[in-house]
Amino acid sequence: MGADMDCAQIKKTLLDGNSLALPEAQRHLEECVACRTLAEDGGELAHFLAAAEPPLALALSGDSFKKLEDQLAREKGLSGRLMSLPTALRELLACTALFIPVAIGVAKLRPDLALYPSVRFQAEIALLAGLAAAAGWVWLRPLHRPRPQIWVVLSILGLGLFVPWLLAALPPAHANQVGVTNNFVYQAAACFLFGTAIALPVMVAVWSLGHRSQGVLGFGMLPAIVAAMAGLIGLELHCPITSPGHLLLGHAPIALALPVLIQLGLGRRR
Amino acid sequence: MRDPKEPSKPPDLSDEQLMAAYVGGDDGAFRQLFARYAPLVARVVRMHVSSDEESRDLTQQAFLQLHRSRRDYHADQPLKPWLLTIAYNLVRDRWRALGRLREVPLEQAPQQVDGTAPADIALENSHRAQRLRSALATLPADQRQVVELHWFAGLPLIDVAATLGVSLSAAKVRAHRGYGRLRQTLRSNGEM
Repeated sequence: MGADMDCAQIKKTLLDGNSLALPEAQRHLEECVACRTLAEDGGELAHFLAAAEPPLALALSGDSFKKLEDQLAREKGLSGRLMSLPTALRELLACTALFIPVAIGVAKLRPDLALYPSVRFQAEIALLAGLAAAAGWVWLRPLHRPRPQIWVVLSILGLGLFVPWLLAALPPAHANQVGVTNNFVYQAAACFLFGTAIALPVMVAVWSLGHRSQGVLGFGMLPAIVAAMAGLIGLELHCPITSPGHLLLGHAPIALALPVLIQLGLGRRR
Repeated sequence: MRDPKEPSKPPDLSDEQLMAAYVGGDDGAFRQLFARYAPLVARVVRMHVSSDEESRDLTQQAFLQLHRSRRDYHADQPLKPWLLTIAYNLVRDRWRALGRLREVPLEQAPQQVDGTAPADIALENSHRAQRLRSALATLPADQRQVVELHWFAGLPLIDVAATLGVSLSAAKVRAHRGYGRLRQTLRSNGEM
């Protein structure tokens, strides 16, 4: 008994006008609904498709490979090497970069931690970390995997831009204003600059490790979302000020500033 | 397409062996893969874009992305679905950038480039290709992709499923509906 035919053999048999009565053909047709449908009515549809399909030599000119070689030559630098690393290594490097703000936040840990409701604190950190992970997952996704649905990308972008403002607008976690001075604007600006500064290396690292494929509006902002969430985690670990005014002016804008920054950078590259 | 430079591997190496050789640093293997698969990728891509130039551009990008993702490749994976997934991602990116699924205008249908067919046969083939493209455009995108990958790219359904990131049963359902609907459309248009 011969091995079952495959789709290509069924196609050839159909187009050659040969019989599909052989057991190896019949076994394939039992399994493959596509070939079964094609074989109906004497393979009429298959014959039409074969006559109408575009030729294989289509659309390729003589210098196609030369142009590709030129593009490959531009991939020899650090940028090309980083984005060509195995995905597992790119993810590991991105996670390592994410720990920079976390480590800084832990090293300069907020003095009011004992007062902060632990469930809320953990939930806020987990939410920001989850958004960073989701944005990083999409950005670093290997090229040979099907793309996530567009709504997934847009949801991550939307949540990344919105959640920090929501968290900042929540009622204060506690009333004890540890570390608060009279200079409200100065403290907010200091936190904004601190958070942005610890997030920037993350943004550069994550950007460099991605394949930067375009196609979805705002896709290029994903590294900014990763970095902004990391910066906000660092601030959450470090800054003891819980008033919504401070958080809305000094923390949440990081989630807006970094995407704007990366969009400006993308605009310059174009 | 220009013939690749001197191949460094015998021509009977499998796709997977060639890819493994390329990952190992053999540039000649990449040239062979390009020679072997660029025409197929261009044909699949050409079903979705409005010009040969665009198709050529996306085909080059597909191979550039194959190069970028080469270190994710494992020799036990079939290469063809891997490469076609990359090509389809590029097509989807193009659709998304345009905000819609493109139907190729008839006057921009692809032309045969070999020049070997007599003019009237070439014209008839071109018209038939246009009618096929119009019929394909009536299919929902998910069914159309399955038909293209199964028929035009020659993938078995299990690889079609892997390429599109869907289950085998979903691919079977889409294939059955897609081919059935295509036949119905062609018949109602008097093509068959």
